[in-house]
Amino acid sequence: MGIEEPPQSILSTSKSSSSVAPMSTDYDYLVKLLALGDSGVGKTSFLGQYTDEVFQSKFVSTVGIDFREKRVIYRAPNNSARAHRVHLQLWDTAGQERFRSLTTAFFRDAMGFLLMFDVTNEDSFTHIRSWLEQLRTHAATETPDVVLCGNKADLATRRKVTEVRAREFAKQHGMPYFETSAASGHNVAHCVEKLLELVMTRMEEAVEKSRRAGAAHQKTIKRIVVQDSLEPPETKRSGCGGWC
Amino acid sequence: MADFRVQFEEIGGAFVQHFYNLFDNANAESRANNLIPLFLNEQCFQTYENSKASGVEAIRACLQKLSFQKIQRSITTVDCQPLSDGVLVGVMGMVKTDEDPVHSYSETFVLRATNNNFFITNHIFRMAIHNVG
Repeated sequence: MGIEEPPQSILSTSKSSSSVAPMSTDYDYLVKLLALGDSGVGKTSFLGQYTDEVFQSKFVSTVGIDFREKRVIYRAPNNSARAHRVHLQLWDTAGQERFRSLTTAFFRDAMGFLLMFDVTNEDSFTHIRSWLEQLRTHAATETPDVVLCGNKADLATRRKVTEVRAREFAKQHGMPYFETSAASGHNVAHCVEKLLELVMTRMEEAVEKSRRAGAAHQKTIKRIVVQDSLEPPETKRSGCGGWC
Repeated sequence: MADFRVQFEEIGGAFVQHFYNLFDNANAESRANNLIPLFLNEQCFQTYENSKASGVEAIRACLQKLSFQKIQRSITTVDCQPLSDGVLVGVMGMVKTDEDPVHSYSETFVLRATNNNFFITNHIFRMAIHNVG
């Protein structure tokens, strides 16, 4: 797996300033990843651990999204000669997940999901099932790329969910599993890199497919355009009209 | 009792203060216990974000599920209007639960007068998170 930090010059504008400076648009792929899981499992700390040394997060209160960005160089495992400049957007919830109030806008255009629970919190592991359902309902594809993270793995004495159990669950659902610690940084980068690899592999396959189909030689997903679309919120109703 | 339609502003304002006092200074269990007596036993509805409940027991269960440990609140406006048998109260404010970012919210109550007392018949809470972008 070959991900490395981009050259210093690309980052210098943001590093020198405490505010978030606009990044150049000089990249090959924009990849949007979402962190999902119960409130308090450490999503924000995890993303902070992965990015904070370089960029601060931006909180967009109107849509309840906290997002961070990072540039990486991606080399495919089977073709390390070809390097891609990837602009990573890491989306985080802003606490509304405790009310199960994520809007569909949050899921839109997401390419990969970091599904997270806390190994010291049994409920957060049990709820992974419902998070999986949610993301499958809202994600753009039927089989989105997902990695499962058991966070707070450093708190060994307070552990409630064994690694064997989590690994078995991940296997059943076809997800890679990582034991992570946002506090120490253990496996954090490795986990994101694995998810990026899944997303990039899928994209390259799509590109290859369209190329073979005679489509113009171009990268399909060059940039995601943020649209001002106003779609009605999806309402889920049970037999009682949603009332219980 | 004096005609509440004259005093609806005072009634609404005092209610909001009382409700938030019970809501904010409690754990999930005592919050539910303290707030349930404020609802009209015979008929009441609550929409708390995506969780909808009708009747006091369903509302109790919903309140018990709120997962935050602490909540801080800043009320921006309280608007009241008289109804033929009660008071309509609309609140706009900001909340911060645990270490989450601050969210704007809107909360609506319908209070109905019964035997010189006011009870909640309708309660709606929504954070101002939009589905755009």
